Amino acid sequence: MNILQRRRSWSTAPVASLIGIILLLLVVVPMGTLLVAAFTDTPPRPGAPLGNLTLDNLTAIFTGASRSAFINTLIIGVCASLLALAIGSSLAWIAARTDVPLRGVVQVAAIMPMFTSSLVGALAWSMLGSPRQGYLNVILRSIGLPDFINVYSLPGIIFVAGIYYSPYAFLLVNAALTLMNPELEEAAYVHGARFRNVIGSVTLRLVMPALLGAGTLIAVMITENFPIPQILGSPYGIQTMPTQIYRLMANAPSRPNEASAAGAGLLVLTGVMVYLQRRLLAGREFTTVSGKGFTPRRQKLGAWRWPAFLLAAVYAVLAVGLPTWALLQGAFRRSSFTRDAKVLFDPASFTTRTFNEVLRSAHLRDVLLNSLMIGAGTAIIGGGVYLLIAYYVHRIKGPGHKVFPYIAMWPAAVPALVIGLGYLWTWSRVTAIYGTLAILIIGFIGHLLPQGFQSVSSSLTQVHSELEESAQVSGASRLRAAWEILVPLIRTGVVSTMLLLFILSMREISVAIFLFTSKTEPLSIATYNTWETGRIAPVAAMSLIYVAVLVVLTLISRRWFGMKTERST
Amino acid sequence: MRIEDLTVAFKGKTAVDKLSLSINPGEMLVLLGPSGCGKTTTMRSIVGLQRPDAGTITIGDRVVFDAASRVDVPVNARKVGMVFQSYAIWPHMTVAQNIAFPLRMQRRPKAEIARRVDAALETVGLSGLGGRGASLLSGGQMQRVAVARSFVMEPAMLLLDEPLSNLDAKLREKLRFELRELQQRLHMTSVYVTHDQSEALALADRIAIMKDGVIEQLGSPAELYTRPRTTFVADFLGVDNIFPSEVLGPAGPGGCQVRLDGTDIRLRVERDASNGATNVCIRPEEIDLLPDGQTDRANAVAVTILSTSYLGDRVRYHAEAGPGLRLTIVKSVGAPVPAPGQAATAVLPADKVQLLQS
Repeated sequence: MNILQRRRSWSTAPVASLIGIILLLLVVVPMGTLLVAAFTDTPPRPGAPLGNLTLDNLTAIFTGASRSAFINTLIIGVCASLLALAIGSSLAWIAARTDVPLRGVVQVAAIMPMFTSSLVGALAWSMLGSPRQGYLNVILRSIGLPDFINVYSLPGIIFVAGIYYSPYAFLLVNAALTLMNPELEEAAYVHGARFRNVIGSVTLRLVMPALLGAGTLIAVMITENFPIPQILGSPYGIQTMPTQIYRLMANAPSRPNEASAAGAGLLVLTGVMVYLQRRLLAGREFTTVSGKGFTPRRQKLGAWRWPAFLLAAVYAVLAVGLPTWALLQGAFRRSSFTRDAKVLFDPASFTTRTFNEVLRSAHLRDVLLNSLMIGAGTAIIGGGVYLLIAYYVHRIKGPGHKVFPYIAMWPAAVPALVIGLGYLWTWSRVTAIYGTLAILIIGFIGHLLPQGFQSVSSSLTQVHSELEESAQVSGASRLRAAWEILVPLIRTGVVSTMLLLFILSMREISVAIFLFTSKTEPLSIATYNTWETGRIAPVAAMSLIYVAVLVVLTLISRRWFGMKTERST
Repeated sequence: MRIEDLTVAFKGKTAVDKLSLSINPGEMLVLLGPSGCGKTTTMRSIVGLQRPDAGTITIGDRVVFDAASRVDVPVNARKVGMVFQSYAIWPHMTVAQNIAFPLRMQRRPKAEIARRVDAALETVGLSGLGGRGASLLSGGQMQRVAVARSFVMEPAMLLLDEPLSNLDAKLREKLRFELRELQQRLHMTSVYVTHDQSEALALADRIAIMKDGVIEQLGSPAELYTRPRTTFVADFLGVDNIFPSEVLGPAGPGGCQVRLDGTDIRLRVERDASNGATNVCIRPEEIDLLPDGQTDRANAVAVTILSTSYLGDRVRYHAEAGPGLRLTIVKSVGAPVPAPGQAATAVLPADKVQLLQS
């Protein structure tokens, strides 16, 4: 009787409040400030009196330049998503369900653009496909064809966005096709169906949830994409909502309230899409995805084997091969003027001078260091924050554990550019944070919250709670059980999530565009700013270095930490 | 161990309702019931993974939970061993490290830990496997490691949460007897949770059948099997012949007359009718099957055989005694086998028919 213990009074309240404050700062306040700005007539400043309430900003979205930006956003969003879906799902079917030669090569080709950044893709295609001077047009002229390619157009933007985002369709559809029970198709054949019947009324229907999921996911990403329309459209008068927001902020005189209203409009647009995605997918989880390893049924292609492979090869050339070649041309050729196709292949016309200059510049060292610091900060601090929230939500289950995951998912519906804008309004008066790397790290932690939280959560929930409970039954305290049992079991998953955060924060430009200063400029922004100066060689050199850094980081992560970049968005 | 007035509610829904129960030293008590009946919640309350809303739990002479005086001994200080449904074997440790964990938490000297781990491994028949990684074990081996880990710290009592439900049928039966033997050899006071009635019958000293958070009937396996008190208990223990019926009145000393609903079949039952019975039941093997035309006997019912199926040592018959009234009868092989379609007489002995409360 003497070891009677009082009820342990350790309360979950302090942890709950801490998480509440974090989510308030990361999600609720920035979005709230943005909404306030959308309905007032002075730029929001924390502490400053609110301006007058007005609806002018909202009406401005639907008039003039903003109205055409809205329409362009819709056109690009729909067409590029369909293109990405068509490319991605065809390649997925070829890779997963046919006897295509060199299947491994097809699989790698289909996801290659994910290792780079859409900014670099857009830059490279602007070199390839600009009217007259684009390398492809130069080549067309020299072989006597009309130089019809113009990437500075709606079709051009749709094309680049489509090929850049098709890997997401590939991954989701590929997973659905691989996990589908082949007996479902075999049963259709047994009952008299032909190939086209089976594809149409069994296979396609079963992967429909994956197709819809991929379609809406891609539509959201393309709608909020900033670098592609900014580089291929903005200089030629084709605006989308993200580029319009940037223009409203960057051009003098800046119109922050209109930008906020446009941001709020874009937020509503992506919010509706994410909502539709959830609605469409709810109740549509067909039991094709059982997690069981099936040996997929492979369609014999016969004479179509090599043409199918060729399709993947053409995709790889368009998405990776040509852009890389263009960057090499741009970075190493003496003159940025291309007289004819001959100079593109003449060894005498190349030099490493510009490239060396860029490589050795103090500027590159500074921005690379900034990028690495931002990446490391986001990975370590963000990873820690996400882990704290996930442990609270899934294990402690104190007050708020139902609401927190919901709030943590909000940023998934918020365009990165709009997040940047919200953080700008919220933090611009806090000099200890604003203008330092800290604001960029906070911005990325907020932007990556849904992904990071989900990824850490899935590591955590994969560990059966009975594993910790049995440690407690065996005499370990809650903390001891977490340390001895949980930590070793989730370490790999959490480390790979952190690496993913590191890479994503280096790849992303839109969050940072409103938050950087000349001292905290990261590599992505530096590449973009070099492009704004208009000189091709330094841009190409920066782009090559930027891509090289991303690829090296990705390869290291995959090789040594088993990270799955595919799971990311 | 003693539980008094244990009450647990989840979001206003009562999972365990004023449950009281005591277990004698060395006894194996089985909590049996369908999912959602509160058996796992009761177990988790005993071990301390679930905080009850009211009641008292005493293990030995130590109060580990008492809502009134706000006593709640944390799970890691209750000294109760537990085998989890998933076994919860830590995959990043070896077998020996798994078993040593509770002793390590007690800060035992290394030499003692090694000695006791070896002894535990031998007890469960896994000698020599201590160095193996725990993720490489088969289901049966994992179960044994979980058992070894739960008793190595010499707990005041042992809790087992459906420890055999993840195994295939053959292994389940084998380990069931091993577990029973081990428990009796170590004289370990145990609570065993399951929804499998044959497992409960084979393992228990006493069974508590639970429904909706309360104990429906508590008794030895033989008691429950031969004298189910309620329809739920009879149904859960797999009695096939349960018929709604009406008590007509007393008949003879300590007996009564019942009529099966929707028929004019009247049966004499050697039970007192005062308990408000609404159903009667009889086990399939206790019905006598006679040739046609012997309906002058007591409790004889004219039936038509619908189907027969061969079970190895026995034959199971389905017979119709009237519209909607079907009997299941099991007889040993050797007796003459009536063919489907034939008429026969079924006799339901008055001392074998049970009266059931709803």
